Amino acid sequence: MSTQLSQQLSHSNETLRDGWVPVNETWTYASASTITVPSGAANKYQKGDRLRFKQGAGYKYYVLTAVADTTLTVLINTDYTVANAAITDNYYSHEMNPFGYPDWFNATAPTWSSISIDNGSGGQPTTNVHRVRVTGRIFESQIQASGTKAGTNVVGCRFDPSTLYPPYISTIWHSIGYGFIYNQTDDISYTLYGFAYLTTGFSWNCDADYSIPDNKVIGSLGVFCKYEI
Amino acid sequence: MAETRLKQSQSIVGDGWSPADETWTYASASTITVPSGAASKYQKGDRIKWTQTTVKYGVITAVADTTLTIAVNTDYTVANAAISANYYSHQANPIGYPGWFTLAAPTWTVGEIDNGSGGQPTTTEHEVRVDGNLCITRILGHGTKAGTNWYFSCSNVGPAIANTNSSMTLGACNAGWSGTDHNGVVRYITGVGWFFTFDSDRTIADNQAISVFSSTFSYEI
Repeated sequence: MSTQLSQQLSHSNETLRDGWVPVNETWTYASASTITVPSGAANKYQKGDRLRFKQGAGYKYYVLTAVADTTLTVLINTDYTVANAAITDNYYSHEMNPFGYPDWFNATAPTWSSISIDNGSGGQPTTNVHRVRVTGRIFESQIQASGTKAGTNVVGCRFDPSTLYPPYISTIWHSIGYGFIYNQTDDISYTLYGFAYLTTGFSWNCDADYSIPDNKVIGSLGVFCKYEI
Repeated sequence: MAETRLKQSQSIVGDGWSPADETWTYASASTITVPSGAASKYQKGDRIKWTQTTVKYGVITAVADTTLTIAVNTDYTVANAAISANYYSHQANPIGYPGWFTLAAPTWTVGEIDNGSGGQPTTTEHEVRVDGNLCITRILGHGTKAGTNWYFSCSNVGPAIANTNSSMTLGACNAGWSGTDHNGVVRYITGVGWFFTFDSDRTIADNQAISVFSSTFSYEI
């Protein structure tokens, strides 16, 4: 009895040490970013929880952005997607930094609005870095891109986050972050102020008295955003 | 045996710290030598505490097979002395962990900002915290603009940035003096440094006394 208890406690200690708790239930694929779980999920999981499981060799890592009674929704990213295959070795964690959790994920390039920035001939500009993370109920992203200003307006850049980011639960026009545009040839810079634009867009604009000339080459565009989910 | 395991469980659950159960030794003021296999146990963002006469705290910024590197700070350094009572934690806020650490002043580019006579401006706050793979830095200071460009820059700011490209925008910043505020952003330019950057049509005059400059910015490590 003592040996069995000792083994059970040893297993518990390992869980406590690495931060991952076995879910002891069956998860199944629902979509590339959702998982079907037994009823009652809202009593066990919450936004910001970290997940890991296997679909083949090695763990995949995720962070929850929504919980319904039988569905977990994870942050969309290009590093790990849920495959239409069996899920094994599934764990969750309420901790910030359980062992192996990557914290930041790569994301698909945004589809930039045609009134903000393009590639100089109407196509999409180059997005070099797009990283996303969730801690607790805070979502944040970092983007670095380059291209050409499209249109004579104050819009440094704009895109629709609805297929990339978790839902934004605050009100429109709320501030979400900052940005910056730099043109090395002319040695000019523009500070951008990010906000939730109408109902579908995130926009980073410069001051209204300081619009960016049409077709100005943008050597570097850097923006970040952070908001409650 | 079971009683020992139970006490370990109660300890971990109670305060968030797991005993390392291995020997750590001094390597430098910001690195600790640990047994081989550290990358299977520790990762960036983990909190550690150890005792060298007093209890000390750190946050891991790099892990190699036998070496833990912590965020360099002036609150706690690893002394060249025996290490005892060593713990680690994957949690955000284990008991006693300070969260923020004080850093030495950054090295400012005196051709862009100085103390009015070519020396370093005054940094009154330089604090850092690491949560997972996110580093948050807070800087406050004052000085005198040197030159007429629309930025000033520094180096020696916290742990190294990761997954950057060319020019990342990391946070808002401000430089102000009586009646005037310039708002801008902090950028990191790969291989160059950390730039407090403002709109280029609002340059700050040479020798303008800046009564306060400040920023809180964050980046991936």
